[in-house]
Amino acid sequence: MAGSALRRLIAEYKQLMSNPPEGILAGPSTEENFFEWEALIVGPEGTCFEGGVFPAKLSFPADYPLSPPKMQFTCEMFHPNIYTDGRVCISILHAPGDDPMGYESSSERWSPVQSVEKILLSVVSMLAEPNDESGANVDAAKMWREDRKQFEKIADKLVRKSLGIPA
Amino acid sequence: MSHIDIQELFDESRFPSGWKLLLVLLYAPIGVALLLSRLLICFLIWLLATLLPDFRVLRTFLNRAIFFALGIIIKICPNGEKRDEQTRIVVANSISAIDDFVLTTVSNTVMPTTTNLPESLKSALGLRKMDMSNKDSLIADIKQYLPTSKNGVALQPEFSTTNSRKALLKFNTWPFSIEPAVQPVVLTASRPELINIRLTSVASTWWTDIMWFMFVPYTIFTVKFLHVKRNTEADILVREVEKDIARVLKIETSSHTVSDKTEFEKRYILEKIHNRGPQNTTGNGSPIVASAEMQRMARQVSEVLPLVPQNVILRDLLKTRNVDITIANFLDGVVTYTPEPTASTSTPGSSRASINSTSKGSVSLKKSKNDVYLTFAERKQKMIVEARERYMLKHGLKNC
Repeated sequence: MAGSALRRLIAEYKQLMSNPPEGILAGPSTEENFFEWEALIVGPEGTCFEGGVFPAKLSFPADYPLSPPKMQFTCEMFHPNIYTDGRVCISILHAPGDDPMGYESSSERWSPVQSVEKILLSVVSMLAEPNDESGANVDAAKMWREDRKQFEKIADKLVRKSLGIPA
Repeated sequence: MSHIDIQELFDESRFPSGWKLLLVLLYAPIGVALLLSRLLICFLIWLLATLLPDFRVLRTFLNRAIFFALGIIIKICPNGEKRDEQTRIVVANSISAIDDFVLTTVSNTVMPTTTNLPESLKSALGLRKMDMSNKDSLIADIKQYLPTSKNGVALQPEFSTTNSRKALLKFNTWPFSIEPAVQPVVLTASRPELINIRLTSVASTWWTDIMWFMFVPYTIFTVKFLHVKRNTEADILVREVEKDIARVLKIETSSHTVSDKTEFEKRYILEKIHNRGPQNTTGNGSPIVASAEMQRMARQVSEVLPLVPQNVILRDLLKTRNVDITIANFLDGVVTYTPEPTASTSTPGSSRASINSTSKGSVSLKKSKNDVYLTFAERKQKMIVEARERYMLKHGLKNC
C-alpha cells in the first residue's frame, strides 16, 4: 500500500506545483520523505487573519488516501478550531463513521476523493469562518463569540508575527 | 489532557487470558445452552411486542422480561446522590450496547434513537424515536419532548463505548446546551470473576455484544448518581461533568473523540484483513478467487485514483495484474480515460473557498507559468516576502 500512497502523493504534489491555488503552498519538506509535508497558508482577505502567512506541517499515514493526514500549525495560532499545540480540528480531517448523533454530516468528512488541496482550502475557509461549536480552543471560541474586537487584535498580532513585522 | 494512546481505551479481545480462558472454555457448553434459551425468550418478547397493542402493563412486563433474557442485575450505589427528578437531562458514560435500558430503569429517562421497533418494546428499552438527521433538529426535538413528558432524556456525550479503564472519550458539547443543569451518572458493570468476559471489544457490533450478554450467567450494572451540575455556559459545563465522571471512575479524560475511535477501528479491521491476505491468495488458481482478487486490486487503484472509472481500471488490471503498474499507467498517461464527474465530491465546507480560487484561476495560472522553475523553498520564500510587502503597503508601514 505504501507504494500507492507514495504515487498518489507525488501526483498531488505535481498538481499543486503546476496549478497552485491562490494563497496556498504545500509540498514535501525534503525530497527524501514524501510523507511529511510543509504548507504555507495565507490568511484570507477581509478576515481578521488577512495577510498572514501561516506555516503548518502535514503528516501522511502509510495507508493514505484511505486514512486522512494529520495537520498541525507550526506557528503560534489562536483560533476556535485549532488546539493550542497547533493541531487543526476540522471535519475533513476525520474519516466518516457512524456518527450516531449526526454531529457532522459524512459529506464533509475525509474520503479518498478528498485531497491535500481540498483540506487546505477548507482550512482557509475555517480561518475565515470559525466553527465555534467544535471548540478545540475554548478560550478562543469564547472570545470569538463575546469579544470580537479583542480576538481581532490577537489575530493581527499573530499575522505580524508570521510576517516578522514587530507589533 | 495528557497524551493517551487511543488503543489503550479499548480491549482487543473480550476474553480473559491464561487459566481464566480455560474456565470460559469449560463453561462454554452451559453458556451456549443459556444463549439459546435466552434467544428464544427474546423471540417471544419480540412476538409479544409486535402482536399486542401498546399498554402500560405490557411495557413493564417487557422491561422485566428483557432483564431476564439478558441476565442483568442493576445495583444503585448507596453512597451516591439521589436521582433529582427536577433535572431532566441525565448524562452518563458509555460502557455497553444496552446502557439506555439500564438508565431508563433507574432514572425514568429515554434516549433518542432512529430504530423502528414496536412502540411498547422501545419504551421498555428506554428508547424514543427522534429526528436525528442533524444535531439542531435533535436538540429541537428533545426541547419539544421534555415539557410534554414526565420522563427525562438520557444522553451519553461520548457517543461510543470505551473499556472504562484508562480514559473517557472526549465529551461532545451539545448535550449540555439543552438545559443549564444536568445530573451526571456513572455506569460500571461487572461479570462473575470466573467467567469474566468483557462487555465489548474493538470493532465489535452491538448484536455480538448482546449475544455475549446472553452467554454469561449474569451481568451486574452499578449506577451511581452524582451531584447535579449547573452552568449556563455549555463549554464549561461539559468539561466539569467530564471531569466528575472520570474522577469517580478513577480514569482520565482524553482528547480522542468518537470519530477518532471509528478511524482507529477502521484501521484495526484493515490491518487484520491485510494480515490475513497472503493466506487467502494461496489458492490463486481458481477463477473465482482471481476475480475477487481482481476486485480488491481495482478497489486499491480507485482509492488512489478515484476519478478513473471502474471498468477502465479493471481492463488495465487484467493486462498488468499489478496495482502499482496500473496506477503508474494512469498517472503517466499510458492509459487514457474520461474522468468521472466530480460535482458531487466537492464538500460544502470548502465550496465557498473553491469558488474563490476558481474565479482567480486565470490569474494564478499565469503566475504559475513564471513560477514553474522555482524550487519549493524558493516559492516559500517568495510567498512570505510578497505577503510582507502587501501588509506593509496596506498598513502604511516603512521597511523595518
